[in-house]
Amino acid sequence: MASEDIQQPNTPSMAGTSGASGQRLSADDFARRFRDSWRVLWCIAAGELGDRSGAEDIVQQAAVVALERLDDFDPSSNFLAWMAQIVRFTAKNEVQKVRRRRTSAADPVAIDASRSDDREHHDHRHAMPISRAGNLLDDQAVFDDHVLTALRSLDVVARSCLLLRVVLDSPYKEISLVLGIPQGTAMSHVDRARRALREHLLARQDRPAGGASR
Amino acid sequence: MTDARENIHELIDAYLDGRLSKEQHARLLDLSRQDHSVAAMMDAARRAEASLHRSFTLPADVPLPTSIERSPTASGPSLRRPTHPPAARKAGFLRSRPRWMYAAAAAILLTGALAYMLNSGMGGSWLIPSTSARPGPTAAGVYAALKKKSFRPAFICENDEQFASFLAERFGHGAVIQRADNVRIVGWDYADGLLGEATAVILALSEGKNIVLFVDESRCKRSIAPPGNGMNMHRAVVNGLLFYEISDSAEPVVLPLIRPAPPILGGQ
Repeated sequence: MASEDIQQPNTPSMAGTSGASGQRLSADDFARRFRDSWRVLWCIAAGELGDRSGAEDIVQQAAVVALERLDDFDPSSNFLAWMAQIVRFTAKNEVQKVRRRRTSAADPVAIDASRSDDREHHDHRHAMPISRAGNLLDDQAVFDDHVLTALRSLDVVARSCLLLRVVLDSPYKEISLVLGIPQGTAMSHVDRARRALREHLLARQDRPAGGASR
Repeated sequence: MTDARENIHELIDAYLDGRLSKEQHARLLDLSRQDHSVAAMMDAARRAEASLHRSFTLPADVPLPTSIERSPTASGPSLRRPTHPPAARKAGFLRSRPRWMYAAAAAILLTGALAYMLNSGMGGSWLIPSTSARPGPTAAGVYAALKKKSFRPAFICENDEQFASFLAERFGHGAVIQRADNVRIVGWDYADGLLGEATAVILALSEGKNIVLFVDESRCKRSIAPPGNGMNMHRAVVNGLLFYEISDSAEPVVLPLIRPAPPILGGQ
């Protein structure tokens, strides 16, 4: 968690304008502030990606970008907010790149086969999840997969809000600052995201074992 | 009906966020005892939170990818590109490993391939471990995870009756912890999969030291490995419940305070 006081961020510019105060952050200061901030940045990256794998790379890529754009940053403004925006841009770019790489020709046979695979996969999952009392019946890994699936179905901002709140116990003031949204909106996102996760888990529990395809 | 359900959702959201007053908390606990669907919602919510903690464990560190050097002639810091910038890190993985690692990797692959061939021929599956299996949690791992989140409980019981009821609902046997000046029960957490699906964890504090207790049914005859790393484990059976106490104390602190709860407390 960043130890610095939460201030309003300067508007992060990716276009190479000078910092408003005309001062430049020193390398040591950058390293120190980065060390204070990486946990929040990592959570934002994980929220954007919907996964923890890749989050570390995104934060490091963002650090490289930030170092190259250090002249843009006004040291009197909020470092965390500035870095958070760079992390979000970097992660969005990465997600788009991956999406483009995944685009492939639609072979009807392949599509049909993958649908069939999906069905079997889902049937196996529906048979598992949690008992009436919410107890885990099968292995934890499958339960975690359900939660991740539900998490990925959320809006990116809601996902980031939830991860910052649950994983880091970030105050809403900080969530609001790093994601550039009002505090009340951050709180609504967290509540709605939590509700969506539990409804997803309970809905799976209520589905008949074996799935509808049999 | 819809309003009532909406109200319960709001209560659960506030509970998870630590925004409930004592009265609201008691009301929610009452509701969960009376209505199984509320209890299921609360349990699903707690488990989802625990799952998020597991799935999004922070890395130990995210180091800066570049070395920043102060050039003797330049007025400010100069940036040197990393040897393996993040985007190329995966490609650079092989380059940075010594040759003996390739040999070890090749040997592992060869062994795996051989095992697979033998396995296919014999029609069994004993040689190939499941790739989907994850290593099970250990007491030390659970302790470390709790430490990472500053031993903050997932939920608390406000009195002995709630405490005993929770144990009774989960394990079929109730117990309470007697009050003592040097021990404070902080609350509960989960350790899914350590001993079984119902494993519960009690967090306690004694003279500034954190104590973790794992609870299981004694008839299950399961055991957990001692955590090591200077931590001690003590165990005791009370009223059909098996408690493991883990701390750095040489003697058990909480175990001697555990007493069976009257059956009435454990009832629904």
